[in-house]
Amino acid sequence: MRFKSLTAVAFGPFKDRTIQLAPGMTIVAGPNGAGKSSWHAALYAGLCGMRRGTGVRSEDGDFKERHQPWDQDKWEVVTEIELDNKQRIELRYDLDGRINCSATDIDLGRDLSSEIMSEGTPDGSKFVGLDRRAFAKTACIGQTEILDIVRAADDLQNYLQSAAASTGRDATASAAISAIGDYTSENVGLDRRNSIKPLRVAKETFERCNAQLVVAQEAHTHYLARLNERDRLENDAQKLEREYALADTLHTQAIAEELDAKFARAKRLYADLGPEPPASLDDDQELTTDVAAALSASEELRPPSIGEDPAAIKAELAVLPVETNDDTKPSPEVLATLETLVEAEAAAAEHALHKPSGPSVDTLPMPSAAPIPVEAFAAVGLAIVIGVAFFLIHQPVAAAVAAMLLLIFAVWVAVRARSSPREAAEDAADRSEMFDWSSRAKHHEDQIWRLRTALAEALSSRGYTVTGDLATVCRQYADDCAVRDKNAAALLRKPDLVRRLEAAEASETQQRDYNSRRSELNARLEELARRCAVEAKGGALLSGLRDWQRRRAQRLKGLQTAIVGWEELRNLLQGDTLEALESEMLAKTRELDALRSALPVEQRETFKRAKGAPTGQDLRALRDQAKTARSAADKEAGDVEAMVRTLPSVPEAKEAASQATTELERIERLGSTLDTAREFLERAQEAVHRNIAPVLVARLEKWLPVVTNGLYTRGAVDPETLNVRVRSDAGEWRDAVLLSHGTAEQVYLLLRIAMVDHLTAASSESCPLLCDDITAHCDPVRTAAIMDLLHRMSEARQIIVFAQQPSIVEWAAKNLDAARDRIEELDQTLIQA
Amino acid sequence: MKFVLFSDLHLDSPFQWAQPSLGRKLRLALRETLDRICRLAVDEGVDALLCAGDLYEQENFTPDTAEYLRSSFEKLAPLRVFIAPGNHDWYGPTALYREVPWSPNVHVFDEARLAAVPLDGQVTLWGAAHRAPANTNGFLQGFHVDGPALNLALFHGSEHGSLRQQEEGKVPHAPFRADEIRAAGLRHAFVGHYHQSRDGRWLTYAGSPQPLAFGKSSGSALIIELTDGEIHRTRVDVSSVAFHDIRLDVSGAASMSEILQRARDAVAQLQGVARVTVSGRLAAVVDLKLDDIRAIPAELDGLVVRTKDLIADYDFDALAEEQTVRGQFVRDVCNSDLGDDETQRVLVVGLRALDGRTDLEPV
Repeated sequence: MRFKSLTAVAFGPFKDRTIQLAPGMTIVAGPNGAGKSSWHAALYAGLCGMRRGTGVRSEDGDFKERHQPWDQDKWEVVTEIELDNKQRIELRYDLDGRINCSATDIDLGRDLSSEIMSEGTPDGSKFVGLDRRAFAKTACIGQTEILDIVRAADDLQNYLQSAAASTGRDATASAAISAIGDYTSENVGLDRRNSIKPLRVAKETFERCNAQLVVAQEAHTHYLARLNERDRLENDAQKLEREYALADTLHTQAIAEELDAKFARAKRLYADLGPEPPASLDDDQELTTDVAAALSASEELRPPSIGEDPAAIKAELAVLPVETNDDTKPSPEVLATLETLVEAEAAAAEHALHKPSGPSVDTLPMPSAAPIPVEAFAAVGLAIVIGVAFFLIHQPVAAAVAAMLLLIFAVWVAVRARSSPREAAEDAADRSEMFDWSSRAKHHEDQIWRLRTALAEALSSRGYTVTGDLATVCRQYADDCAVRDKNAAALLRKPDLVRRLEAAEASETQQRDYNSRRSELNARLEELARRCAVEAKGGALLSGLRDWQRRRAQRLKGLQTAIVGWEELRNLLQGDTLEALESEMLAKTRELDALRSALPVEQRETFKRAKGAPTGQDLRALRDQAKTARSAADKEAGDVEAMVRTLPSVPEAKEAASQATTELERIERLGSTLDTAREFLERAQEAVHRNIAPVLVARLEKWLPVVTNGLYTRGAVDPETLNVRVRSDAGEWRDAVLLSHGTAEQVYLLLRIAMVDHLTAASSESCPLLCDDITAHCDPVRTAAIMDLLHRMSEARQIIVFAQQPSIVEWAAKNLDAARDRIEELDQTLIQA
Repeated sequence: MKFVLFSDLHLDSPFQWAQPSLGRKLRLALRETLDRICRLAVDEGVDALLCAGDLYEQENFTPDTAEYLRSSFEKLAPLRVFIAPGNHDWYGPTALYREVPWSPNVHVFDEARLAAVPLDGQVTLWGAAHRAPANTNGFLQGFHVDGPALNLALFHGSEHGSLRQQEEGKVPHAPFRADEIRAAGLRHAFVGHYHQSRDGRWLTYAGSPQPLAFGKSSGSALIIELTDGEIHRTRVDVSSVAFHDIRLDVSGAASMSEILQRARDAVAQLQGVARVTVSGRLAAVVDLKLDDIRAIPAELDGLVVRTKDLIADYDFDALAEEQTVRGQFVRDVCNSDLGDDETQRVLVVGLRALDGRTDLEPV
C-alpha cells in the first residue's frame, strides 16, 4: 500500500492544500515552520482517521489541540492510496464530527468503509494489518521520539513493545497484565481478615446474611413453638378458670344455703326467746344430788334371795359313807391271774383226761391233771366278754357279778373234769407215752401252782388273808369291790352338798347386812323428804321424792333449752343483729346468682348435676392454681407479643442472603476470569517474546552493517524489554543505547522497521513509513548513511521523509530516482498566519 | 352455584432475585392481589370462595399475616370460604391455620383425605389438606364417591400429565392422574400447585393469581359457574403488579448513552416490575454499565437488569491473525477448554486490558 496524494481540506495551517507522494521515497523538505510536522500528522490522519467512541483519549485530545484549524469550522482530510494490487481508494475523514468518514473504491465507486472499520470510523491502516494506533507507534516515526532517544531510551522500547503486544494499543502486555492485577486487587482483592476489598466484603456480607437467615429461621421456628406454648398455657388457664368458676359457684351456693339455714334458725330462735337472755338455773344442786344418790341407793339396795337350811345339808353330809382307797372294781391283775389260773386248771384237767394206758401214774415222774373241758374255757371267755361289756356301759357292779358267776361255773366244770382222768390212765399204751403225758401234767401243775401263788399274793396285798379256799377269797374280794363301788357312788354327792352348805351360810350373812342397810337408808330418805317438803311416808316416800325429782327436771330442762337456744342464737348472729344476718344471706344469694349466670352454658349442666361443694381450702388451692396458670399464660402471651415486634423477616433474610450469594459469586467469578485472563496474557507474552526475538534479530542484522559502516554485524534483542545489543563478529556485546547517539538512533530505527515488518507480515500489503526529521542529530555522513538505508528500503515500501536539513535535499538531488521518488519542497510563505 | 377459585398466592414468599426493598413491595402486592380476589367474589355474588392451597408459606409467614387473613375472610361473611392447604401452607402442628380464630364462614380442610362439605342439597365439595411439606400421597387413591349429589373436589396436587408442561424443578406433591377424577365419581376437581393455569375437562388448575417470577406477566382467578351440572370458567386478571420481561438488544450501539436511550425507550410506558435482559453484540468500545440501566428513572416498582446472550463485538478471527501478544492471547484463549461463556469473558478482560481500558469486568 502507498499514499498517492493527500489533500488537507482543512487541517492545521492548511486549507485545500494537496501534496503528491511518490511510490518509492518522497522527501518533504522545508525549513522550520514550513509545516512538515503538520503534513506528517495529516498523512497519519489521512490514512487512519480518528476513533469515534465514548470519552476522549488524551492523545486524541493532544492531536486535536495541535492540528484542528482554529479559524475554520471544518477539520477534514482526503487521501488517495493505492494498494499493491493497484486498487485505488479514497479515504475521506471528517475529523471533527467523525460522521462523514468513508473509504471508497475510486474506480468502482464502492464503499469500503465497513471493511476497515475500527472504533467507529474507517481506518486505512487496516489494509496493512495494523490499526491506527499500531500504525502511529510503528510506521510513524516522529521527530520527538528520535530526539528523545538518548535521554529516555526506554520510551522507544516501551513504544515498540506496546506495538508488539497489541499492534498499536496503548498498553504493553506487561502493562495489561499489571492492569489486570491492579484491577483484581481493587475489584476483587484478597480474602484476608480486615481487608476492605470487594471479595472480603462480599464474603463477610454473605456470611452475615446467611447467619442472619439462620437467626431469622430459628426465630421463626422458635416463634411457632412459642405460639404452641402460648396456646397450651392459655388452654390450661381457661380450663382451670372454668374449674375454679364452677367450684366457686358451688362453694358460694353452699355458703348461701348455709346462711339461709342460719337465718331461718336464728329467726325462729329469736321468735322463741325474744331479745333478752334466759334466767340462770336454781341453786339446789346439792339437795338434788343427795336425793338422786339416795333414790339410786334405794333402788340399788335389793333384798338377798332366801337360801337352804344349813342344818339339813349338814345332816345329809353326816350320813355319807367313809371314803376309802380300796378297789371299787376287781383289779384287772387279779382278774387276769384268776382267768389264767382257771384256764391252766382247765388245761390240766383236759390233760388228765387223755392219760395213756401203761405204767401207773405213781411211776410217773410228775402227776398230770385231767384236761379242762371246753365248756370251762367257753365259760371263762364268756365271763370276760360280759364283764367288759358291762364295764363299758358303766355297770361295773353288774359286770363283776356276771364275771364272777361265770368264773365259778368254769371252775366247777374244770374241777369236775379233773376228777375223771384217773380211770383213763389205766389205758396208757406204753411207758414213753406215759412219760410224755406225765411231763405235760407236771407242767400244768407247776403253772397252776405259780398262778395260785401270784393270786394269793395279789389278794394279800389288798388286805385279804389267803388261808382257805382261794376261790372263796376271790369271791369275797369281788363282793367287797361291789360294796365299795356302791359307796363311791354315794360319795359323789359330797362336793355339791359342801357348796350348798357354804351358800346357805353366805345367804344368812347377806340377809343380816341387808336388813341393817335398809334401816339406814329409810332414815336418810325420810330426812331428805323433809328437806324437799315431801309429805309422804313409808312406801310413798320414794314415789314422793321421785315426783319431786321429775318436777325439778322439767323445770331445769325448760331453762336449759332456753339457755342452749340463746347460746345458739348468739353463735348464729356472731355478735351482730338478725337484720345483718339477713343482709349477709341476701348478698350471698345475689352473688350466687351472678356466678351461676356467668358460667358457660356447658358448665351450667355440670353445675346442676354436681353433688357437694369444695371446701374453702380446696377452693383456695384451685383459685391459686388458676391464678398461677393465668399468670403464666398472660406472661407467655406478652412474651410472644414482644417477640413479634422483634421477629426478623425470613423472606427478607432470604432475599438478602440470595443477593449476597449472587454478589459473592459475581466477584469470585470475576476474580477467576481476571486470573485466567492474566495467565493467558502472561503465556501469550512469553510465546510472542520467544517468537519475535529471532525475527527482529534477523531483520536487524540484515541492515546493521550498513548503518554502522560494518562496525557491528551481530545483534540481539531482549524479547521482553526490546533492549538491543550489538557486536562485531568477534567483539563483545554492547548495549545499543550506549553507542553514539546517531548509531543508537539508527539501530532503533532498524528495530522499528523490523517491528513493522513483523507486525504486517500477515498482510499482503507493504506498509509505508513516515519519518519526521529523524536525522536531526546526525552528522552528514551518518545522515547520508541513513538516507541510503531508507532509500534502499523504499524499494519494498513507500518511505516519506520530512526533513529540514539542506544536506538531505542535496542527498536527494543526487540519489533519488525521478521515476519512483520525489522531492517536495515546502514553501513557508504558504503557511497561514 | 357460583364460585371464585384461586390458588398458589404464596403470601410472604421471598423474591430471591430481588433486593429486600423490592421484595417487601412485592409481598404487599400479594396481599393486594388477595384483596382483589375477595372483591371479585363479593362483586360476582358467588356462593363460595375456593382456595386450592399454598395460600401462604409456612416457613416464611410473618405474624401479622394471620390477622390479615382472618380479617380478610371475615369481611366476606356470610360468603363461605374453603381452603385446602397445600405443601407450602401444610396443615401441621404449628400451621397458621391453627392459630387463626376463623370466623364461622371459613372452613379449612384439615384431613389428609378428602372430606365432604355439602354446599346445598345437590352439590358436595370434597376437600383435603397436606399434613406435611412433602411425601403426601395422592388424594384420589382409593377414593370413590357415589350418590345423586354433584361432587366437586378441592385440593393441592400434581397431575401427572401437567408436570412436564409446568415450571422446571417443580416437585410433584399428592400426585394423581386426570382419569382418576372421573373414576372417583367426582364431576370436577379444582386444583392448585402449578403456577401456570390449565383448564381441563375434569380439572381446573387455577394458576397463581400474582406472578412470583418473570416469565408470566399477570395472574388470574377464576369465576366458576355450575349450570345444569356443567362447569363454566371465566378467568379474571387479579394481579396487582405486572411483570415485564424486556429484551434490550445493544447490537450496533456505539456508546453507553445510546444503550441507555434504548433502555429508556423500552421501559418508558411500563408499570410494575421489569426485567431487562441485555443481549446482542456489544461494541468493543462500549463500557457497558448495568447499574446505569438500573438507575433509569421510570414509573416501575422495580427494575432488574441482567445480561444473556451478550457477545462482545470483537473480530476474534482477525485478532487471532495478529502476530502480537494480543493475537497470541486470542488464539490461546480460543483454543483453550474454557466454556464458551468463560472464553468470551476472558477475551474481553484481556483485550480491554491490552487496550488500556479500565472497565475490565465483562458483563
